[in-house]
Amino acid sequence: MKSPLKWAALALALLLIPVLIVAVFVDGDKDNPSFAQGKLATGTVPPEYEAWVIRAGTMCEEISAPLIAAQIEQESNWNPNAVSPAGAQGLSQFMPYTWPSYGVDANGNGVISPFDPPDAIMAQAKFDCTTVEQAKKDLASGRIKGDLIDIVLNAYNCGYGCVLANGGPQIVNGETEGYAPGVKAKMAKYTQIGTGGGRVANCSQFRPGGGFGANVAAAALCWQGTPYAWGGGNIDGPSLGIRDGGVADSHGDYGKVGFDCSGLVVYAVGQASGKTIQLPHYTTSILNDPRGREVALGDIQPGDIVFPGGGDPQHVGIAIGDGKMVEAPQSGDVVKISPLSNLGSGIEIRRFG
Amino acid sequence: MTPKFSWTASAAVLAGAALVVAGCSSGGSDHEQTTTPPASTTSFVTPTETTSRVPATPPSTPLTAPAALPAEIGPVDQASVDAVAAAVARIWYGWDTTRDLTQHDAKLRAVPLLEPRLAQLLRDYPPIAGPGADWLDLTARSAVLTVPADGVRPGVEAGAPADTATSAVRLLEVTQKVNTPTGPMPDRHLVVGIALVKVGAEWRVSQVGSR
Repeated sequence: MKSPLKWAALALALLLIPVLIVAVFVDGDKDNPSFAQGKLATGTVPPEYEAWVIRAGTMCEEISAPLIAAQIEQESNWNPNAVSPAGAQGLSQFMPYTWPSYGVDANGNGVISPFDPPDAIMAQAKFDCTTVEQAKKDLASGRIKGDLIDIVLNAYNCGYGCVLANGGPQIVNGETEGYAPGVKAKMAKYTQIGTGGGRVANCSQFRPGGGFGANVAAAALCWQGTPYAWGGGNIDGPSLGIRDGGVADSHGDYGKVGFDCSGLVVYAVGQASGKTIQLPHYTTSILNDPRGREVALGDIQPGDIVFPGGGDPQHVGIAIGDGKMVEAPQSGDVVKISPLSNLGSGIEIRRFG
Repeated sequence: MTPKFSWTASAAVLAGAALVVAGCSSGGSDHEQTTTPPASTTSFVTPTETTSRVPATPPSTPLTAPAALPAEIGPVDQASVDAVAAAVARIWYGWDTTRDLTQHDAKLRAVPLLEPRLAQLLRDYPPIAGPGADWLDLTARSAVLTVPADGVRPGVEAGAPADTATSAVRLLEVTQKVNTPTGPMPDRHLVVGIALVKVGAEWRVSQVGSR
């Protein structure tokens, strides 16, 4: 009598222990509401690493599983044996002299190695979360300024000393400033649909899952009054413009975040598409992007992307109806509504939804 | 007797706990993820041959930078905004993955045409992580990327701040030619914003940003 009971209980336990483990890991994959990061989309990372990526996303509230996954893609494209010419190792590309500070025997196999994927993934999370804690203190004291996640990512690329030396994530060495946007852009494909928020969610006209064109227009209109910043704007919102030391700086371009004309379009189309359409940040490239459909002037609708005629446009805006567009016009100006006629005659129109 | 009883009871308690916690965790959550729990026996392989070309020691900073421009760039009219911007673009995006450890090495070659603050930043803060998956792939192919003189063209997008006597910006379309020992790969096209400032009588680049 006891034996069947014992085996039944044991079988039930064995059946449910994995459920317990997974449930703990998954439930810890927090919403990260303050940073609008979502949950890991199932099947987007190599299956042998999925549980570890989810677990890494539970280490601290600010670092999500999709962020961890996007970083790994950026660093090694999921190659656990990667070694860079400078000696960076494994999935997360730790330098040998950095590894001892963050390496952990995550899977308890008695070895701590950057080539052991669980160790690498958890060490990466440890680095990110350690940086979060330090950055929070330095942000609070005013030692540095800027977006917390940008700080973390740029510290991963350039070092925390580099962040401190620049007063925040505004690092302009030609590489680091591209690292955070590059990682963030990769997050979309790792994020479970509907779990990633975003600043556009605060925009009353924007309706998640609503009409594509209406949402393109709404996303851009939400940022009326935001400064023009040359080189500014990406799929997540306004970003730091390029410093010029002269006119643009005197207009406030330097040290402020904003959009230039194509940056605003990258953002609006990206948001309306749930970040599935990441346009190039350049007018000519947007005009010629194969995902855009040519539209006749008589068929123009809100959310269509509008260019001056001639085939090699110097500007781009977003139609909002009634013969108007929303645009980021030029240095010293702000995102605003303007007459479509400002583009001249023979305008070109593209629709991405 | 006692051990048997404990074993059964323990299993039952464990099962119950699993049920309770799993139930709690699904409450109020839309999670539908299923994962394989981490195994303590995960195996991995340490590469027996490393492609690292340098000792595993922290770099000594500030890094040294060349005093002269690469010969293939030729003479540069440093009183010309356009000439300086184009030269820096050619050097910055000219990568020899058989020789360079990271893209950072190419940037250091541009130091003679950079604003002192940017030059110092590059020398003081080399990357602490890897150069990224793209660079690893190029390195595996022994790729050499060059930007020929006609590979730099003015960009057309308007709206940029106007030039002054001491500052300027240039938007450039840059084409990288990619060659490998097994033949050329497709060209790469970049759009690059470059900011310049006047230092004495000559122009220097203060920022480079690829879009």
